[in-house]
Amino acid sequence: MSGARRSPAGGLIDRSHSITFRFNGKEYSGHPGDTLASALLAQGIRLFGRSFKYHRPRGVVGAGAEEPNALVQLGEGAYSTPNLRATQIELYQGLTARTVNGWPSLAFDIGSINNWFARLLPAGFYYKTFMWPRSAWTHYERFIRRAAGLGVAPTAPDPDRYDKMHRHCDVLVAGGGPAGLLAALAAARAGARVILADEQSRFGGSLLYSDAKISGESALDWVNSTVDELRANSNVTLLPRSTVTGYYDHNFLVINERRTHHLGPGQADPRVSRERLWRVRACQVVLATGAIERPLVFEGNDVPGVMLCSAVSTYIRRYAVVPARRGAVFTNNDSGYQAAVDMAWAGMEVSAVVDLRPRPTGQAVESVEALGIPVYPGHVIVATRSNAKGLNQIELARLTDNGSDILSHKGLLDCQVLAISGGWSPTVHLHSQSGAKARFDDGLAGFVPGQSVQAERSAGSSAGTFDLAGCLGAGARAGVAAARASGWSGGHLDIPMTQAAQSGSIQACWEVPSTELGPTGAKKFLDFQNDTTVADVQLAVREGYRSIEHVKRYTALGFGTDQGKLGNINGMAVLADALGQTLNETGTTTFRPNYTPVTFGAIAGRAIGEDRFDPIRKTAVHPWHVRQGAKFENVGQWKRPWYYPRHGEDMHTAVNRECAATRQGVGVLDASTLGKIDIKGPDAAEFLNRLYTNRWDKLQSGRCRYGFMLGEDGMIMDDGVTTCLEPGHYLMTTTTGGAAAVMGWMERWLQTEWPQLKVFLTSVTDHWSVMSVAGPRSRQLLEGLGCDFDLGGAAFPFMSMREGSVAGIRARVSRISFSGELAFEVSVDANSGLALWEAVMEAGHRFDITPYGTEAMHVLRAEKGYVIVGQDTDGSVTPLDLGMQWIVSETKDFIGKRSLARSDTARDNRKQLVGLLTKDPAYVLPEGAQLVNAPSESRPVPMMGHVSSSYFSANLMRSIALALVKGGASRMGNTVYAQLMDGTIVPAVITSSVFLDPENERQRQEAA
Amino acid sequence: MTSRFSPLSEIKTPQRQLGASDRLDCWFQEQAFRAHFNLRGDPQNSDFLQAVKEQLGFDLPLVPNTVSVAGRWRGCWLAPDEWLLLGPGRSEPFETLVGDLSAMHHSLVDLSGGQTVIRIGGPAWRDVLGSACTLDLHPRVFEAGHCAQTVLTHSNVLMIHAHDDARGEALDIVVRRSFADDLLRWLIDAATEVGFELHRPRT
Repeated sequence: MSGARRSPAGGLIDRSHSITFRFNGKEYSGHPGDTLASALLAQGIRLFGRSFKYHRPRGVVGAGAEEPNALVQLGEGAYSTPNLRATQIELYQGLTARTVNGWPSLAFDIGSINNWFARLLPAGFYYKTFMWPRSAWTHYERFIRRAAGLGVAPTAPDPDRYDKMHRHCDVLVAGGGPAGLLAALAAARAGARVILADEQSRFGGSLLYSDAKISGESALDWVNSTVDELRANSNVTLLPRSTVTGYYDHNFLVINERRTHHLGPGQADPRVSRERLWRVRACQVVLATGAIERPLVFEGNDVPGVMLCSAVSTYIRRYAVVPARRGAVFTNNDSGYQAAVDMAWAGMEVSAVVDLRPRPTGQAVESVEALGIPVYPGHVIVATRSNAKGLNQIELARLTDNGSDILSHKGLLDCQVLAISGGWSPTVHLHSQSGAKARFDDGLAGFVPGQSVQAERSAGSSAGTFDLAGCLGAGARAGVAAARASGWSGGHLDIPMTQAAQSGSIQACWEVPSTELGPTGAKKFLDFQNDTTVADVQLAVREGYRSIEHVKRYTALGFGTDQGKLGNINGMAVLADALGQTLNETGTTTFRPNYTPVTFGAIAGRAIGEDRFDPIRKTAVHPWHVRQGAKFENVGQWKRPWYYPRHGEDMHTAVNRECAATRQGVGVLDASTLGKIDIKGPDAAEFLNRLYTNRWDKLQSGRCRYGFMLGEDGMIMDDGVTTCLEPGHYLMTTTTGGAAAVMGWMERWLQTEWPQLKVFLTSVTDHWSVMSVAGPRSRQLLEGLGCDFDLGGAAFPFMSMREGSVAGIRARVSRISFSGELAFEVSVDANSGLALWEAVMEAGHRFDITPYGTEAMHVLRAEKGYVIVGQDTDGSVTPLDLGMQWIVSETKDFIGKRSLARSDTARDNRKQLVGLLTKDPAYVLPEGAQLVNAPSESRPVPMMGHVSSSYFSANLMRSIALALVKGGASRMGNTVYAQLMDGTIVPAVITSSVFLDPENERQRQEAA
Repeated sequence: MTSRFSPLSEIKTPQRQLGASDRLDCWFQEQAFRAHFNLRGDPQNSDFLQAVKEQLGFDLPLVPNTVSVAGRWRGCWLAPDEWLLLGPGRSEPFETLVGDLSAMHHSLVDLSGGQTVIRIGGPAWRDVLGSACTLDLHPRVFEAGHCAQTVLTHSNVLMIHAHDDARGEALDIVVRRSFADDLLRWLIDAATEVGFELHRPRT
């Protein structure tokens, strides 16, 4: 037995309440204030998982975000979250968790066979073995992924709410330890708007496991009173359980707040989000993110029971856990001694403090010796021995005077916990993410922040200041400076007094020498999560790798959920040594967001589901369409009625009915979604001349004209009808989907190329509700509805517009037709759109008026050969390809004109728009079908073009299609073949693209 | 007079829902059927500025993101040569303005059917907006006389600091008709935690 237990008193846990939870199927208990790790450690659980590659048993190493081993799958079903660190999971009643590695069971792990064959699994093993032949990788991958473990994403929809919050502040403080608290306090007292975020459930950082006194009170009391003052300040936002995960350009930072995790699944108010992603724009940033203790690298340093000194102190002081009966310390600096003091304070036997420095002196050493703990200067641990429960012995050896070799073997010491400290690595992640470059400080043996490139400053141990008094002072100064830099200089703050600590120097040690005397030959682990060893990095160098970024990818050093928080610096130092470089020359890998993993829920926020992922635009008549049971189609962001099924009609029947009714009686279409742009100014006609391929300067007031807009490449970009309202004043319509792009295009030309043109544009798309009344009875219908102007063909010819009153509503009525029928487009102020629609429907009752949707609209226009930009064109089609030479002016310039003369645009075998009639009139070609001249089994078959639109025409009682065919205009009557994916071959004859009424007699219908 | 329907008159949402603290800390109300006119003209042309001032009573704001108010008309800066005139409706001074401007290069376009105003207020309105709005709405930065254009969730909007006669400080969100339903449902969902009331449109 390891002898782990709970101290009878102390710690920040609530002993008055017990919590039961399950880990790997077994029930345990803990207290509020525990983490999953502390509660399990208190009950003697040491085995938390198995490593990624060799499946070695692993225990808890750390007490926070740095933890590489104790990864669990938390919760069940839809609430389940993979790969959470047990060291950061707050315990709640009913918690369930299981280890993510260790299939089929933690105790007997099938993958640990890898451990025996470790010599066959060197660095780059996967690259060398499974990548060749390439096709085999997909086969191996399934098994490797399974054996490699790591958690499982839930398959059920996430039942929780996630949201986002955007916020600006004067000073953002990342980290609520001593430096961060004082920085926030100083900035808040100065009057600044402050956000203080800390990843833990409570503020205090290292003070949560400290026995220090601040201003005469306990560290914890000082934390509480400081937090109380901050909370009372309305300019301060306190964010506990919130990790500053990303630092981006222009002082934009992202904070991941875990709001209800600690309550457990289904326990939180459903109105409160589970996580919130704060998106903060900060004037100034103070990084008080602390430091992470570094492991020492020696043989067998990965067995359960080897933990960081700071973690041992945290479990003892904060969680009142006595982690074992007997412990020992292995350190290269003074801070490790505190773990020995804490272990003794908790009643543990401390076998030794093993210090690899030859002559450690000072306060720390004296305090340990005063407790009767033996100190072994100039010694190291060269091996560990373990049983099924983890560590039980360490093997001591003496170093040579220069520290480079083992001098003598000093025997075994009993201990179940070995606290190790290889020094501290300032948490420079956010500083580095901001674009700055950390530099290596030889005195501290760690990377410290370099020159800032954004408005940020580091304070406290994240800047390499490791003593409490120094951290408090640095925090206060950083807070004052940040507030002043953001324009706030009021307030006053005394730096609290605390006992100054003298600290001896650190002796950098990146790898403990191997012993020739011992029997071990065990691995020295750099990265516990990825099982990267010293030998792996050295092998990579022997194989020619030089860049730290390449070595990382070859050895997996620093990958995984912990991103190398523990192992990276040691690994870089080992690499530097192998390359004969300094650490500054080798450098670090790139620190990227996020600092710790962020859930997809938090990233998605509320922008999920049909309702909120993409906006839904509705016309003024939308409620009517819904009441009629219309089926909707998404067009751009609009919901447009697709068809209106009657009494269980299927789509085909409904569309046939709608088409027939419109050709024979009268149909109505909600055309409100078309883009509309008001164009006004003395140069408006000239502007249109430059935009469109045809001429606009002769268009009379009250007349309409159809136009094509080309890109600079001569390809069709948009089309629509533009009406001259009065001289110098036009109303342009665009396609539904192209409206915003066309508006931007026009403004761009006006503002950047032609500022001398006096033209103003205003988007009026939403102001007008437009209904298209189409069919031979449309004129009769409108006359019955009451119009105060003459609807007759002589007074109101095709392609003209009249303003007046329709059914008592002010309206613009245009004789425009996209169906090829006699048609009137009636536009009214959208507030009256529904009233007009209902009035038309009522008046149309006696004509059996039929609302039709976009599908019938498509069929009707295809019967007439009218193209839809974006369907029959695809950005590679000119007006000439559509056979519409008549719309391209020879006598003026326009955007895209020069491109029409390019050899490729002018050649005669370009794809050209044609009609297609299948030999089998009932067969409707699939849109997108490829066309060939002769079907063939051999590949490739020369492609002659493709079908762009295809429908069954109820009016023609057969299928029709539009297609783009190479040289199609000169191939009328030829047969081409659609060779379909399923092998079907469909012969079709090339015809004119106009299938109905080529003389346009129907839409003109000048007589009533 | 035929019936008119404002963009949010048929919105399908709960009218009232308590927040997690059993409070209603946010309210919404459509300010329906306001007159919205988009005005474009040359800010260097003193005749243009004078014509507006004479008929509507305020100097067109030339400072970006500011608002001028006179009586029930507001003029909001949209761009160096573009403003939104928000008011009660066409009236005699407005018709006079139309005539006065006719001699100079300008554009005055009626958008009254194409836009509406969502007014949001209550103690938590800034937090509700904060879930969607990337701009700084803190009272130190965004106060009476200010307006700003941005994208809220998916919708282009103009936000105007406002004072509601009945309910105090508020924000007017001018949004296109077709997006109004989407935006208001989004904001109401954002107010789930603080609780909300949706008042009947004010006409």
